Amino acid sequence: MDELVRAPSAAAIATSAKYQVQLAEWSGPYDVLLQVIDDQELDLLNLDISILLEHYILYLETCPIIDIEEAGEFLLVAATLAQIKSKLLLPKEEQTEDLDEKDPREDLVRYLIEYQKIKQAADLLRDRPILGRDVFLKGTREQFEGMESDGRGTLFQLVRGFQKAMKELRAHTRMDISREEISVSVRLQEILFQFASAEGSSRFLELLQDSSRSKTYIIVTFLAVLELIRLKKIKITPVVDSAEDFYLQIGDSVSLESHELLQSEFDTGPNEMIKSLSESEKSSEEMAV
Amino acid sequence: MNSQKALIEGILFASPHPVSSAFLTELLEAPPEEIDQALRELKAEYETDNHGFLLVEVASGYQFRTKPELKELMARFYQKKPPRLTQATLEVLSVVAYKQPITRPQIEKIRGVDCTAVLKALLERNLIEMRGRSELPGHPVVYGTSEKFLEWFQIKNLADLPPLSEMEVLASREGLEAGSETLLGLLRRDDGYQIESVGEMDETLKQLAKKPAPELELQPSGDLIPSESERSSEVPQSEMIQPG
Repeated sequence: MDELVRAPSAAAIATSAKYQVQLAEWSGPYDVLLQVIDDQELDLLNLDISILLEHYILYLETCPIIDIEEAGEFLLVAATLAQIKSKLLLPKEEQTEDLDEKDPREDLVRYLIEYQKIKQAADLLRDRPILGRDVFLKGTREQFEGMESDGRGTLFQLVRGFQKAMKELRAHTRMDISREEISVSVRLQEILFQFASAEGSSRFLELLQDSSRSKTYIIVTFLAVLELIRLKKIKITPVVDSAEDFYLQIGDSVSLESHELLQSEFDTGPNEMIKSLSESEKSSEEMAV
Repeated sequence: MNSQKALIEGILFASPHPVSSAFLTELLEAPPEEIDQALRELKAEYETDNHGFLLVEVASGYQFRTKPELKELMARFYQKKPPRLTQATLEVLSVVAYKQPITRPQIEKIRGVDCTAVLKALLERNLIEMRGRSELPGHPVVYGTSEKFLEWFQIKNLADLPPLSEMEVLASREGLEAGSETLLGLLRRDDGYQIESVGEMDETLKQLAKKPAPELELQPSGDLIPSESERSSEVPQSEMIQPG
């Protein structure tokens, strides 16, 4: 009993990606039904519901663990099949009062016809010459990947990149008691220096790749990037196949040789802001647990 | 250097996006027939084996793209994995492409499964976009495919997609003869809830794009199973969205 009603634990949620792999053969209950119809050579327009139901359940049983949410959808279809089966078992005479005599299978068949068409449309899409898989545009790798936007990133992408970096940090490190002191201004110069050696461009997540560094380091890097954007020293361009990463490029009018010393506003006060940021991060972490 | 063809080729070479023939007509101040003729000739020239790329019609414009035969070479050159497309992604994209504007519950009704995560991923990749809200209870968001969808799948325009009604349905010959009359009827009269010609829909979408979002009204196209009363009064989709 305990096993039946237990809500998905945190561990189960974390590994739910695994369950999806087991389900990947079918993209939904209709997909399974079509598979049964095909395998059992059933006639879509004269469906033998009892065979369909029997094999549908057999198929589901071969799939040992199902994501609890998806299981509901699969069970709903099983219940619908059982209902149709029972309706078909009723003697015909009792239904004659209905003026518009409807075949109980009608709705189901309608769904299946519709779904089949969509499946075929999906197959046709897959076979098209897909950009980045079959056909390519001119340009350097960077331009190729960045070209599908209008060349401007959004603040949300920047924030998402920050969140991703924080998440990865959480996965890598255990306890980090030592405190790393680094100022935004210093990091800012570092980033510009890094650009000079990388021909004026870099990826945001590359800047944060050093997972041995502390949370402070990531926060300071993020603040430094924001500051560089504000000072119009760099531009950001989204990376097409990633929602979190983006390209950082040196601004048009910025010379990497100039030794102009940049001072960040973040450093004017004591590290109050950084402290509050890491605290809010900690509390959200606790909530997640 | 006065050949119209050379000028067009230059523009198409320099542009990062597909360029429409209407735009070229305006820019070069030439008659549209002349531009179209030049484009046709250019297209034919690149189709020869001497070239590694083609001039393709995509997203209502023209663009140079490498030939599909070069795909393995290009993958090695870019050292990049191709975009991952799952069955679920492609199915949701197809539903949206053919039934737009459509709400999430309507997509889920067709697929029989929850589509929240897939929709979110497609939105993040800008392959679909929100087109406002429907007049249905709760005013759910309606979705449509984006310009980028056409570019990604190298589609000229939505009218270029094969009509859904031409898709084959798994039904045996015996079924067509001996099947239940009611069910047989489904194959014939499913026009009430299905877009027959995407070409006409394309026009509607263009109109919708110009319209401010809140005024958007949902066509009954997404409703798989209209109630009995609705069904009798329902006008086939193709008639409802006749342009003009």
